Amino acid sequence: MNKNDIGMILLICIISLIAISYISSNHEEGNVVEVYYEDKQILNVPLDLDNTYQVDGYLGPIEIEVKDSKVRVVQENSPKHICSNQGWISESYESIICLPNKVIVNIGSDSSLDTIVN
Amino acid sequence: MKLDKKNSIIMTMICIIVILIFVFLYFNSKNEIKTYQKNLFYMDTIIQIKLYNISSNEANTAFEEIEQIYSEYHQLTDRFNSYSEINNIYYINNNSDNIKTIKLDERLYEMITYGLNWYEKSNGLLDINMGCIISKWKEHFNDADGIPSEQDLKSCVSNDIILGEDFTIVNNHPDIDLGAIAKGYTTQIVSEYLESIEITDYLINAGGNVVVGDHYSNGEYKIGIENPNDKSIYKILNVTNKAVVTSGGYERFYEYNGHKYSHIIDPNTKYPAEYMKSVTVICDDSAFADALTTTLFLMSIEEGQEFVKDMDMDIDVIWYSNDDEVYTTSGVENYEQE
Repeated sequence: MNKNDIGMILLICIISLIAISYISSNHEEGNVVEVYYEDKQILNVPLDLDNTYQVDGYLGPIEIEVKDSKVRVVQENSPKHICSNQGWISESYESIICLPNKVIVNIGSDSSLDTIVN
Repeated sequence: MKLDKKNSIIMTMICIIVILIFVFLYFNSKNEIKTYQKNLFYMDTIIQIKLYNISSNEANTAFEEIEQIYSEYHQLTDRFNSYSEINNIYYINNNSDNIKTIKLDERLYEMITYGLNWYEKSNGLLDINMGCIISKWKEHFNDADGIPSEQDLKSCVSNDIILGEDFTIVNNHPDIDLGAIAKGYTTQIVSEYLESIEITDYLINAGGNVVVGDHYSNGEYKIGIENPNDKSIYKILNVTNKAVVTSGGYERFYEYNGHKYSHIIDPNTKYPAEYMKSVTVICDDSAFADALTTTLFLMSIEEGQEFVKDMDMDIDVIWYSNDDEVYTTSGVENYEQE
């Protein structure tokens, strides 16, 4: 084996390592919080970034809090406050549905579940 | 000679690495699944639709048509509002027109017929003619407070539903409520529409009425079944081309004076059924699954097991009992293997 061969092997190894790391980096998307009003996405923010957000629902503003990779609806205007009473969600198959406000909070990711029946 | 051998080893290594790169690229491309999602609000529920592996034009056309279907069936089955130019359930129940029969939209006629067939099939357990009683309970359900009085429930009287020839119904003011079948029935229509335009990879979840087509990447849809006590997932089913529907479950009960009341009313007692916490049906047809879950919710688990056995069809059922035991038909385990 001469120097050229070794150089060739090294080169190919480096190229393949770069390719593989590039490909796998595409995979590792962090989870995101997706908020929909009817079917329009109105918010898409990382789940691992603690913050509060305000979006507009059918019956008024809705305050959404993201903390410790969990998300909840803090405040909304609706007759029964079902969605603010629901509390935190953290799994990608969970949703918070504010039916009177036509707002849905999803966690988007490479979900292990496609949907749930309840 | 020696050098040639080494060269061939190097060539082999290069080949292997190149192949590996292609394998990685292949798996990566498999993850790029085109997904289109739409949420609709009809029939007092949220309807989530996902279509896969089609062009965005096809998806938009399909979404428009699907919204049309849900919106039209919503209006036809609406018990509380009238819409101009359609004779819907509100009109059938409440009109004061001096006519003997009402001409119905073919689609509504078919759905009422479907409901009446299930009334026979379920020995009267699935009753689409008790809107008043359902309303009485719903008032309390929504506020999670109190129960209707005997007097209240007795005040509900309904005339028989009598269908005639040529898509007509006798105008005798029945008390129709299609809530037990409308979501599953309409979702079945939507799924048939998607198949008819050759969209094969789809998932619809209409408030607990799930229908899936082929999987978007040759796998199976993973559907979580919610624990009726705490909303956790107690079972995961792997399915394609099936309907999965649950009756009962978390948030479908309300508690008053330490007693839990479900949202499914037994026509015999006029009280909510208490045989189980939830029941899930897996079968080929979403309308059938919706009607069957309601029927099974209205009988004991043992009776339900007999009922399903007697139907002798490709149906699987998961019962979640009041004391938190899970009963399944034998076919359920086929959906649970990885």
